[in-house]
Amino acid sequence: MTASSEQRLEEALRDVAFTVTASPGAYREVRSRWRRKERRRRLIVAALATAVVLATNGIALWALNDASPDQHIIFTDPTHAR
Amino acid sequence: MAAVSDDRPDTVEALAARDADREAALAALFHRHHLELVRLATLLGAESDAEDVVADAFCELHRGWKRLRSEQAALPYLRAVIVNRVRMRVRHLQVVRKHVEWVREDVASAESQAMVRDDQRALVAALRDLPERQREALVLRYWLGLKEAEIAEAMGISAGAVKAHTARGMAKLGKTLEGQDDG
Repeated sequence: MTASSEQRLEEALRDVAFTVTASPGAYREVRSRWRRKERRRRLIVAALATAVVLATNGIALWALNDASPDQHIIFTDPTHAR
Repeated sequence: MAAVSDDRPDTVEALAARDADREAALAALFHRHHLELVRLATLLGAESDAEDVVADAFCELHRGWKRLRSEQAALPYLRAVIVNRVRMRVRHLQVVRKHVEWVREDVASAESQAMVRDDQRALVAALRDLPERQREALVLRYWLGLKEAEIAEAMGISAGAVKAHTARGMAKLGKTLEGQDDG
């Protein structure tokens, strides 16, 4: 491939590229798209965090509810264990 | 442009300031490079989806902003995302075109195509018929004027492979150019 061929390719690409234009409101459109995606991402993270907290609370309440009132599952003193 | 890494503690004010910095940096990047990136996507074969591909790349950059190693890595990152997205789109279209009768889209509108000479149009058409890696290497080198290492980063391959793809692509295009010279 000669230098002139490379030059011809460069010129062809440049001329074709210059026929391509972008829409005038592109920035506003893209910015609203990335903001929407970010909001959705944060909403999903918040929903997941809430679900985890609710699930752990539920499991803890269930465990406490099922335990015998005489059995101290949180503060067990090993010296009094039989 | 804002610093990509930020050591401030995660207070509400710091997070808001970080978001504002990121938006400002992305806005500056967008206004400087958007048109060039749309043209890159078009030349790579994104056709009418070029703006959409570039918009997706900016959204991905927005999401991964904190993971960038430096501000200077933003543009190469965008190029790499665009190359990947266009490659996926072209592959998808190849499958679609096997099943549906397809009328090929021109790179730009008919009106703007009139500004391009016939031999140039034929050359770009021949470029688009090349295997994707060869086309990508040639567009990145001869339109964006990137160095081999930058092309390798954008394409996710080694510099040696870039050299091989460029040489093979140019050899094939050489035949088109010879045909034009003979005709």
